[in-house]
Amino acid sequence: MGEAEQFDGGIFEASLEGGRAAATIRFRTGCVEARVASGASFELPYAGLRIELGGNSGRVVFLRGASEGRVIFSEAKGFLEELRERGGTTVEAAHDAVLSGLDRDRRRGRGLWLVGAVVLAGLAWLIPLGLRAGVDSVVASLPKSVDTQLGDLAAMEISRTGPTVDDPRAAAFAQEVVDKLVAALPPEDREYAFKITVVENPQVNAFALPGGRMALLTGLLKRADNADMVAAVLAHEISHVTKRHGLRHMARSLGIVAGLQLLLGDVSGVAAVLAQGATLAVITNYSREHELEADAEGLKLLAKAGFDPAAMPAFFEKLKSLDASEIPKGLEWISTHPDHDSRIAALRALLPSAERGKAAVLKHSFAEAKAAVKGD
Amino acid sequence: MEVEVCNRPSFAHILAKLAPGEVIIAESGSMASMTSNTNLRATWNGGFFTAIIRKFFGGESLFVNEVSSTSGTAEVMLTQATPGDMIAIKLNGTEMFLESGSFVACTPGVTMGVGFAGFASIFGGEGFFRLKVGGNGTVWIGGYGSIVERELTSELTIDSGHLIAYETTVSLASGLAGGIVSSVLSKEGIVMRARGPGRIYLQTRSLDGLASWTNRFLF
Repeated sequence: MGEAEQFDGGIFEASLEGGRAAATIRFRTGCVEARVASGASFELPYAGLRIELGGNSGRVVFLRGASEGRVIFSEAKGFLEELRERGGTTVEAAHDAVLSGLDRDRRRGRGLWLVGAVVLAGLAWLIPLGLRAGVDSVVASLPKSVDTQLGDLAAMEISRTGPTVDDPRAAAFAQEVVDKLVAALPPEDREYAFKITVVENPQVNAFALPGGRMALLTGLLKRADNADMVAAVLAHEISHVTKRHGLRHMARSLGIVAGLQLLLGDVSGVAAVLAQGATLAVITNYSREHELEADAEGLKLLAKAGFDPAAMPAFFEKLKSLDASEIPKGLEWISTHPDHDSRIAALRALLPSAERGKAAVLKHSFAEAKAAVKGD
Repeated sequence: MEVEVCNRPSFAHILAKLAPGEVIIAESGSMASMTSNTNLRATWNGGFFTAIIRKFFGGESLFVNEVSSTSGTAEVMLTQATPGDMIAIKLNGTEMFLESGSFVACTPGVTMGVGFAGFASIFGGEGFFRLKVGGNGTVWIGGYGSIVERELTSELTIDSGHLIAYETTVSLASGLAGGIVSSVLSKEGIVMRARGPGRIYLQTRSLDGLASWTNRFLF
């Protein structure tokens, strides 16, 4: 503090070359003084001093005399405070008027930043949403043969799950359940070639690949109480196929770049990546949103095909009590979902609205199919 | 150093004669011809980070050229991309903002930095950042058409695309030229309001104007 305090700034002064120059500013008794590089110094008395804020940053303090064209300015920190202190009561009114304007500008500035942040956050939320909707709509426009090709790529994974059960009691039963369900599908969805294989594997599981290849694991057959429960699981899986979740999931997980490629219609590059990533674990690792959609669609299908829709929540309930070792990681389509109870509740809520078709009569017996497979 | 702006105003260029030891900083790509005793060295455009910011947000080049003489008097001719005038501005420690593309050359005493352009500039279509020059020396800027210098006494409304340089003491605000309807109908759209004290430099043609004029024949 004291006499030595000085600030970087500038001065507009007609007598200077070019009319302006950088200056060092000091507050003296009775006046503010600006000294330019050449050594010349210019003064403005405190009396009648006008103070304005402006400049490109809005923080430049301009000091004008009562009449002269001379303007001294600075953007330095503490400039206004020092002026108030050194200028005393002479500059008080002018100083306070500027300060209130400054506060208002700061508030407005904060408001602008806030608006900017909200807009950015909105964009960050909307862009992925739009991209997702775009990818989904592109997937919807792809021919169904793409699903079949993708399913074929992963088909060998079915045999990797375990040996095929050839016993006609089991195989024919499973295919009959599938056929009954498929018969209840809208005509355009029946175009998929739904074919089920019974695979010997103790896991309580079933899965479907894009295009309609399906697998029923013997562990599920063993654990189910009746044909309706088996049908419930298969209806869920068929819905994954008809809703093209495999392809949609693949397309989404390819990332933004591939998503954009899909949007722009360049499918060739994406197809190559699809082929590379087409493994069972990747394809059937559906999102929660897809699982819930398959639940709801599957329930409708189950009822329409003439099975008991209550079998779906009932089977889910049954799975809850199973030992964790029987529900394998990765493949299991229910254990991976922590919100098990909410899924069951959602299904129960849908039960009254499920329109049940003519009761399904199966030629093949569930009990015999169950007896045909090994295990306890 | 002897620097002359020749062929003003339509197709102006800078002719600089450099004695040994003298240096002129030139925008990269601005060199049209030079004598064999000229040394051209690329340096970061105002420091590494400043250069990066200017390149990606200000639409400027990553490098500038330091032009000097290896022996005797070197002669270099500097040009700009657009047809139009060039002027020399002397800086007395005062600072100026240059819109992207208007910088042509400067003397070594001039400091180059980058400044956030502010909301007015963004809405006015002038970009996020712009070059800030200061220090003591001369800076040469170029524009499309003639260059008009104005000492601001009261508020001045400028159509976006015409402002190429202004002192930091000048405040800018963006706004509509009139009401919403008349702004659209008058084709003035968003304009800048400049308030002094300070000096601004305007180009008498705008590239936007040229683009929309030529577009009529393309579509």
